[in-house]
Amino acid sequence: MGGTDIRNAIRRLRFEANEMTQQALADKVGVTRQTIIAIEQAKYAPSLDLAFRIAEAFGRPLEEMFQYGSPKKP
Amino acid sequence: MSKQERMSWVSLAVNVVIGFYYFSAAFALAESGDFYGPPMAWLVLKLVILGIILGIVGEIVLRFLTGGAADKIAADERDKLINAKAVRNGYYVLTAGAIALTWHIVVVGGLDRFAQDYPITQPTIDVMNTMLDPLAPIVIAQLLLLAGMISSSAIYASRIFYYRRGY
Repeated sequence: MGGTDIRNAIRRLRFEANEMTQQALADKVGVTRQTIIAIEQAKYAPSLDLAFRIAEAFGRPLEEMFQYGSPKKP
Repeated sequence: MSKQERMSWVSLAVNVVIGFYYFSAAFALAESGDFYGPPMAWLVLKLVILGIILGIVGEIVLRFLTGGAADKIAADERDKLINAKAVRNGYYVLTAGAIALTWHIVVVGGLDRFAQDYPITQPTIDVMNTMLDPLAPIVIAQLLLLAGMISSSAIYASRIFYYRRGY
């Protein structure tokens, strides 16, 4: 119940992008700040449309932004 | 706290306060014998006005307490999904209420027969018949209103649960 298996690099990329705030990212992609928080914490899986908009906001490919499942051990 | 979650907290609080006040007052009217008259109509009008005022005051107070700036987005995809799940939960509660009300009509309709077969229930039936005609349209309407209020409270409570959990 709750949570998702989709991991993301949003928090890292925000800090790399001149410490972009959650609100700034939310405004850029058209959602609330709380939704960005929920996505970062892997509590909510964004729709495909929103995922593409987030990737476009950082200028990165989708697969670099989001990964599915547990991280593979080297 | 998002605007949607804030509204859910306010709506739930108003619903509980209004519901408690309304059914307490309605019970008092039933005991005094004014249940079927103009006092009931005035009670409903008072409650509508009270609900509007409480809703506005609650929203202002909660926005002040949470320091919430006005959201630029009214409702995004996550808000819509949470609302859909909450409404579904409210639907289940309302359905249960409707079934219970139907049972009430069917069973109470045969209450005297029930008392014949199960004499131990006679005192309860006597109290019910003294206070109200359990099958009067206004009583059925009150029970339906009760089911609606419980259902709407379930919607608000569900929204709050999903917002607190994240989704």
